[in-house]
Parts: sequence; C-alpha cells; structure tokens
Amino acid sequence: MKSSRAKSFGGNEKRLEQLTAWLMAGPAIFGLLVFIGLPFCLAVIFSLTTLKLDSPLPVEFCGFEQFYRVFADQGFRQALVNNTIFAAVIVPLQTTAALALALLLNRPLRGMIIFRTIFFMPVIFPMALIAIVFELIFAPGPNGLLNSFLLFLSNGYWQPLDFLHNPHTALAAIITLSIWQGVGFQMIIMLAGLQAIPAALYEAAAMDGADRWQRFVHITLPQMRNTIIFVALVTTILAFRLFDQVWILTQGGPNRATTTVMFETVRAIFKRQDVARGAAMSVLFFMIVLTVTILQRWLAKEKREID
Amino acid sequence: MAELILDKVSKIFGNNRVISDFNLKVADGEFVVLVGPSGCGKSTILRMIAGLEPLSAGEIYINGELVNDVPPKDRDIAMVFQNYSLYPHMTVFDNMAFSLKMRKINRPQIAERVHRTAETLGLTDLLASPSRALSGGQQQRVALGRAIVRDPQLFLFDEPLSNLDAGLRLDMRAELIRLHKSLAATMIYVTHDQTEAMSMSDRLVVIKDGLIMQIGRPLEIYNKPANLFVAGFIGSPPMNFISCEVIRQGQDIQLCRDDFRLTLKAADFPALGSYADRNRQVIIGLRPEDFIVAGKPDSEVDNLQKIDVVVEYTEPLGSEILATCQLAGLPMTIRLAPDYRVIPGQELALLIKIDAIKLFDPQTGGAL
Repeated sequence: MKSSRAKSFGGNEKRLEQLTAWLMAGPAIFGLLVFIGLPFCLAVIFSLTTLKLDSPLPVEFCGFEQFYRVFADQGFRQALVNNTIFAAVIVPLQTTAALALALLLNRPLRGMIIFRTIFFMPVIFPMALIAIVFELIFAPGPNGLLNSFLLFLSNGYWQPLDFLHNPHTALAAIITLSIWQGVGFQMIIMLAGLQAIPAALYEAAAMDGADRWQRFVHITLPQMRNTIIFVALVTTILAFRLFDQVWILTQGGPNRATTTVMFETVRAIFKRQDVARGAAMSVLFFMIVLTVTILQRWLAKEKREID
Repeated sequence: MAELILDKVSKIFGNNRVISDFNLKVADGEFVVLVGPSGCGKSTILRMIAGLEPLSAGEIYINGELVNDVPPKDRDIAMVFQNYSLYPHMTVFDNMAFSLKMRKINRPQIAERVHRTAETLGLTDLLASPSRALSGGQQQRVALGRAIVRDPQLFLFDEPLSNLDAGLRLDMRAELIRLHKSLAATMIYVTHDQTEAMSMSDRLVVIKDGLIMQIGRPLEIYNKPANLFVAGFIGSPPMNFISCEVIRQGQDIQLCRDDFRLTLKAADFPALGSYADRNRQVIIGLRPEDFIVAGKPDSEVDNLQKIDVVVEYTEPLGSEILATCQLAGLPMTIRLAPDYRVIPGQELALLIKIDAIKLFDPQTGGAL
C-alpha cells in the first residue's frame, strides 16, 4: 500500500518518508554522537597530546608517546595481566555457573519464581552495597565471616587471612564477589535460551534412547550454542570493564594485585589529572575489547545459526 | 515386533478425565489407527504408550512385560511426531544415526544401516544436508527414516501427515502402507482424518472424549457403525440422518417424517416393533451411495424403495457428483455418476437401497 502510493506520487512521497525516518531517529543519533561518538573522538585526539589539567606547560602534539609510556608503566602492565586473569577465570566459571543455575531453575516446580528472583537479585543491588557485604564476609581476623566459617570447618586449624589485603587472595576475593553479583544476569539469558528449546526435541531424543546426560550434550548444548556464545562475549567485555569492586574494596592493592585497566585509567585522569595518559589507556582498552570480541565472533562463526 | 496391551488405562489432567478405562490389544505386526476428532485423547494414548506421559491408572504391556515404569528410552519404541521434531543442529545422517549412536553401535554398522534406510526412502542425496534446510515432505521422510533405522519393537505415529499438502499426503500414505507391509512391524497411528484411518489401517479404533466408540476392521466399521457418532464420523461425505416416527401397519413398519414415507417389512427389522408400540422415534442413517437414481435400473440390487427429492446444489468432483437435496426439510447428500446431468431445483426420483439402511436409537445413539 505504502510503496504503491510512493510510486504514484513520484519521488516526493519517498523523500518525505525518508525525512520522517531521519526526524524519528534524530534524537537517538544526536545522543549517540554527543555522548559516545564525540567523547571517543576526543579521547583519540587527547591520547596523541600531552594534555594534563594541572600542568603549566603548553599542550603539545606528541604522536604515540603516551602509548609508549603507558606500556612502559608497571601499573598498567599489571592491570592488563590482572584483567586477563580475571576474564580467563570469570568467563568459563560464570558462564558454566549461569548455565547450571538456569538448568536448575528451568524445572516446573512450585515457587520457582521465588528462586529465580533470589538468584537474580544481586544483579540489581548497587555494587557499593555488595562490596560492603563482602567486606564483612572477607573481614580479617578469626571473627571475619569467611575466616570463622573456615575455622569451624577445619576444626581450628585454619590460619585467618586478610583476604582483601593479601596479594595472593585479593584478586580471588574480587573474582568471587563478581561472580556472585553477575551470575544472575547471565542466568536469565540462559534461562530464556533454555525455554526456547522445543520440548518435542527432548521427547524425540528420549524416544531415541538418550538418557538425561546425553540429552543435555546432544540437545541442550547445541541448541544453546548461540546463547552461550553471546553470554561469553558479554561476560568478557564486562570482565575487562572491572572497576567498581576494585575501587571500593581494594583501590587496586595490595601491591597492585587487583589493579585493572579501568582502574588505572580513572586514576590517571581523575587523581593525577593526566587526561592524555588516561585517554591513551581508554583507547587501548577499546582496542583490546574490540579484538577479543572479533576473535570470539570469528571463532564461533562456523555453524552459526542465523535465524 | 511386539504385542501391545492397554488394560484399563486412564489419564486425568487436574480435574479433567481425558481417558477412561481404555482397553486395547494390538497383535504383533498389526497396523492400528486411533481416530477421533481433535481433543478426543488419541494423542494422549499414544504418548502414554511411548512413556512420555505417565498413566493415572491402568497398565500397559509390551510383549507381556509391564512397562508403566519403564522410561521412554528403554521401551524400544520409535515415534514420528506431527511436527517431525528433527534435531535442527544435525545433518540428515546424524538425525538418523542418533538413536544408533545412543545404543553404542559401532560406526561402520551405523553408516551401513543409515545408508540402507536412506536408500529405501530416497534420502541418499540429502544425507549431508542440515535438517533445518529441508522441505516439509523431506523432513517427514527423515523423521520416518529416523524411526525405521532403529528397527524398533513398535512404531508410533502422531498425525505425521497432517502438516503436508494434499498431494504429498497421498504419496506418504501409500509409502507408509508399503513400509508396513515390508517391515511387518507393529504400528499405531493417530489421526483425525477418517480417510487416512480407513485407507491405512488393519484395525480402526474410533475414539470420542477418551472413550472407545468402536473397534473393528475399516469396512466393518463403515458398514456396521456401532453408534451415531461412528456413523457420522467415518465416511466422507458423512452419512445422512433422518429422525422418523415409527408406525406399525399390519405386516409392515412405516418410518415417516413430513411427506417422507419409508415402508419396511416388520420381519426384516424386528427391533423396530417395540419402537412402534412405544411410539418412539428412530434415526435412519443413509450413506450418500445408498441411493440409485430411478430410471437407471440396477439389476444387481433388489429391495429398493422410491422417494422424491429436490436438488438444492451440486458439487461435481470429476469422479462423481455430490448432490445436496431436500428431503422432508433436511439436507441430504447423495452420490451421482459423473456423467449424470442434474441442475439445482430439479426433482429427482431416488431408489433407496433398503438393505443398506442403518437405524439408530435417538436417545442412546446406539445402532439397532
């Protein structure tokens, strides 16, 4: 109907439709440009300068100097290592945990909605609140929640640790709380994926002689492939953006054991006023996330279902 | 190869009794069709046989073994689903090989069996294609292949042809009949399509509201329907029904409705006597082919009775003409020869084949 009218009125109608489309999309495009496009371009430009807010020296163009410096910086290198460890642990662990939870919560059981809500709740809690709760759990000395629990389990043999301020346990502590906080989100996505699998496939497989585990391997996993890829991708990106927990609980310490790229970036800009350096870090951060994303999509590309 | 017994099987969903005391014995190698309108519970029965639905009461035996608590995977039953339920992430080969892999059969043997089955179904060229790229008819074939390749004790079909277009459905019907002959396997087939049911089955089970209305060979059911429901459900176009007064006239019994009169010999229809005496009505059932156009003498049929009807409209189908006529204020469908010239509004003298008449009690619905 629309297209036939467009034809009979010649190009005018079509141009009007295009104008309408642009008008409708306008506010969103404007927002994207101002709040994402512009800052990103500015970051790229700043990263090539010596811009420092409290510096009396004039701002100069310095090419890739900032990038060299960033790479030479021990703190940033450690941040990259930490982020990589964090992602390498969290992505498989959290994805598996989310799938396991989703499988548990996908049963037709009375009161299931309550369990689903409980497991999803940490996602909507503000990180500050969660950090405080975990600060209590990880509290040092024999009276800390986790320490006293471990003391009880080991019948008094456990040596109480200061989890958040011990270089060997600090990152692990951050990982634990991050999984607890984030797994609900991935679980919901997994749950949606599970519910999209037709029940008849399981019935057909059961008739074909597949037991519970075989049905999981041959029906659930292949059917969940795209969902799992998506969850892994999102988790990876979120893992590289790790910041809040670190900022609130450890300030990157002890001895840089928990510092992250985001943390270093924020510190460079807002603590040391070193805008150019921070900009270089965020550009690097962007490149890393982009590379990981492209890599993951490429690895998962074969057999990808487009429907 | 299997013998199947359903003994007083019942299914209750919530407060809803879907199946009540269902008894059925299927002999080894038999092709039994469960037929009934949608919602009559026939698919539920099939799913209970498969083990996909627990029984509320009763027992199911396969080869004499009670299987109530045997999970579906251990029942050695193959099922073809209405929407085929192929594994969308697998190729045709993998779909067919799946059950064999689950049974840990070695690879060369799997390949051999899949190829052999694929050949009988004309699927060889499709073996490498992903199953979700197939057309409906092809998917149907693969679903069939997936069932056959296993060589199971029992085949279950849940309306497997209802998603296919008419031409394909006829082809697959013929193919299934051929397969049943060559495999000599026990098959239970659910459909709401009475033509399908008639043409394929060794035995037919007509179901309504979870109750068996009649079990029998297709022609037996067609010619001697046990009740009004079966009479109306089996046969296309359906049987014509006329409810009549029953009047005794000496040696004869007269069935009347308005100006329609049918005179029967009381001796031939002994059951009618009591209806006449108690002044009760009966329902006459006449199939569309139970009429002969008067003036076209048919020497092979005797015992005819003449009635006059007015043609309302006709449906020429090529192989025959269906004419809907007015008789005593009721529409009646009759079958006419394809070359017969008839126009709406025309008066037609018909001869009724008295021997073909079916009589039913209007209260119980049972045949007399």
